[in-house]
Amino acid sequence: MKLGGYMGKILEVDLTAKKSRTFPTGEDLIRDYVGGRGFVAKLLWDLVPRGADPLSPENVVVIAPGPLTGVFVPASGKVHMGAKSPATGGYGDSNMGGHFSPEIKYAGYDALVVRGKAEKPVVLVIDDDKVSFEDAGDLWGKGAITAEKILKDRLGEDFQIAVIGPAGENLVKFACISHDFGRQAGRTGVGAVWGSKNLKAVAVRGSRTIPVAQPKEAFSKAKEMYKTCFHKPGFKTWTPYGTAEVVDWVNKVGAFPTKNFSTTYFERHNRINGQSLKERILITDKGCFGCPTPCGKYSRAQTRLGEVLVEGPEYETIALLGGNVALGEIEEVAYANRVADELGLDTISAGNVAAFAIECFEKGLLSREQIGRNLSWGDLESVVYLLEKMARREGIGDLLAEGVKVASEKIGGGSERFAIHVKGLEWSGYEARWAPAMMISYITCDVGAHHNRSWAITFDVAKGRDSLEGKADKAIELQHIRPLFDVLGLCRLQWVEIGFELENYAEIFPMVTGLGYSWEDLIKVSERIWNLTRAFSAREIPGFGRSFDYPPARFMEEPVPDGPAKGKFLARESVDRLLDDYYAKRGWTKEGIPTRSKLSELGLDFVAEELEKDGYSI
Amino acid sequence: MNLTAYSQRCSGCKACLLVCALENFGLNNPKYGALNIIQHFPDPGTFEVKVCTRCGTCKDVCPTGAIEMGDNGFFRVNSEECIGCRACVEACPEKVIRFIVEKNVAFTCTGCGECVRYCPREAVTDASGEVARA
Repeated sequence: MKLGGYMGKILEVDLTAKKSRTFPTGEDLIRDYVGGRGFVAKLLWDLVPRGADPLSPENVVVIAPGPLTGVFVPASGKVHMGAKSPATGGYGDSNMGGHFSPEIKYAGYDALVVRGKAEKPVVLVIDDDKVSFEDAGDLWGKGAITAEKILKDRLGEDFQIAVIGPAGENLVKFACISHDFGRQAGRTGVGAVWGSKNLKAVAVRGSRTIPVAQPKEAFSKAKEMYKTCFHKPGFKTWTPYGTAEVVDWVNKVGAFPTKNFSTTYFERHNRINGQSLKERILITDKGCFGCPTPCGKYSRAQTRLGEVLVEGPEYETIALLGGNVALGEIEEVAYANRVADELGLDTISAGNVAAFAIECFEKGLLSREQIGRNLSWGDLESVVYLLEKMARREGIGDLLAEGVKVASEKIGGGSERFAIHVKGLEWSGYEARWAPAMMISYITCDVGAHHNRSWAITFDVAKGRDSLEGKADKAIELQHIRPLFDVLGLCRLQWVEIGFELENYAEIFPMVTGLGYSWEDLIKVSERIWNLTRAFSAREIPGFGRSFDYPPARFMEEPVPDGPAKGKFLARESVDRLLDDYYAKRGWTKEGIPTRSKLSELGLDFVAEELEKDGYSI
Repeated sequence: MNLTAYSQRCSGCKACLLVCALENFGLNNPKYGALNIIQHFPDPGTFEVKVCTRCGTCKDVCPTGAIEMGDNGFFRVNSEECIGCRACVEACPEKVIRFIVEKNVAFTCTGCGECVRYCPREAVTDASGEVARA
């Protein structure tokens, strides 16, 4: 059977030489890594020179849709963006929705690889087979939304554009990549890597048809999948609010990031929840490609600082640029959201950094002179001031642009205790002092403190929040299932939010691709990728292992002061028990490095050899 | 079948374009969908949906008479007579006629109703009530 879902080639661009070439999408690459996140992980392993500075021309950008991207399957608009992370020094990737990913497929590519560094700022323009490098001198310094609009006007509305803002240009360690006026690949500083390469934007347009292995069967199954989604209760109850729907629940269970995670309940939650968004600021729902349940909420918000149009705020932004800095009106969160989007800052990390700065000021560790003004919780001006400073690396912003890990090391005075990160990546929207499954998910996430690999807090709530039993197993199970969507090039929210069954994906995958993989086979691929990304970090970060897998001291030593989780914390001994359990179940050493036998079982002997070279006892 | 668009319901997902191209040609390519989704972002932040209004401009401009009204009231392109000049594509006021490269033929909305069945938002509907969302 002919392979479907793949375009058959990968585009490699050398920005230094301003040249491009294509090479066939390897059969081995497809067999072992399938696509999307799998391609990102394997190509980074192969192409990034050992020890490369993440912000040097040696680093490599990999952009990969999946085999189901752009195919008629619900929500097939996701793209995976990877590079060695400037935030963590290890494996880095981020996932983005919108319409950029399908366009890469229609242009004829299974992935884009970008190497080197352009002499001057450029826009990489890919128009089917034609690849060109357009001068971006006039766009450099412009906001991400402004620059995207200029490029749309210049190139045509039918180009799909991914772009960085000033934060990426200024090598802010948590700069994002933006697309479609509100979608971002936010995490791990992938935008800074683009900035280091003088890559302002990538614009893609394609006209091709994606081949499908069993077209009739796949079409019929996809129709059934859409129809099933339409009739799930959540289709009607969840969609109108999108991800903001969960604000009240996270507060109710005492897990909402509030005032730099000092507490976990925000009394103004009902001013920044999904209801507030829908009733007060929403203009239209805005969907990614083929999405039956669009979570994108395009809004117009009026504040004392002015009016903004913004896609969002979605849950993570509400948590980190809302509760975590104590902004208590949805309009204010929307305003901060728009400022961060235009500057090209990841709202999750930026919200953490702003909150960290406010707490440092409150505790006298940063002075008014150092900062340039007073800072206070719940003050929109303070937040906007900090966002502008960090994106432009002005004054205190130069230190804050390094992220909370580096900033706390320089500021000292015990600020490491409340620098809320793992591995150098700031914590996303679920506080985990009273949620062991969520805690082990965060501390073992391959890119740092991110929830998307395993969102296990509902498991904690269902199975008992004080118990450690079965929590590592659940994290591992989810760490294989959830990233699989990033491999296939799909959004997982239909499964997560409206209960659309996983079996559907297992059924349609072989129909589209012609690869006779069962769901278990795909889970094995996901496990292979998980071990490879862990090994990438071990290869790139000297002394990597267990010591990189701890939460900040605040979560292990400070009881939650109020709210539903009052008095709770997860002691270091408990964290150690979770880690021991997790490493054992994963087939890793007690130091958290994949063993030779596990790597062999996964067909990763070449990885074992490299880790042994580095002196890891595996 | 009376195809009617409600732009304010559209989320811009383009499922309609993909299901259209698949139903009519078996091709997984939204560029072949006989609808037109226009986005107005970042300001004012709205979508605009264009569907075939059966105005007949395509029939009028076709130099070979390849376009005629079918039994269901929608126009059809006779692939034997279409010479691929794309006059109809250019002339269509709604910009909802496509040229299918693989088949070397112009394509106008056939009124098949698949966009109505699979638009998650009911932004494309059948005012006659014959076809509804799946």
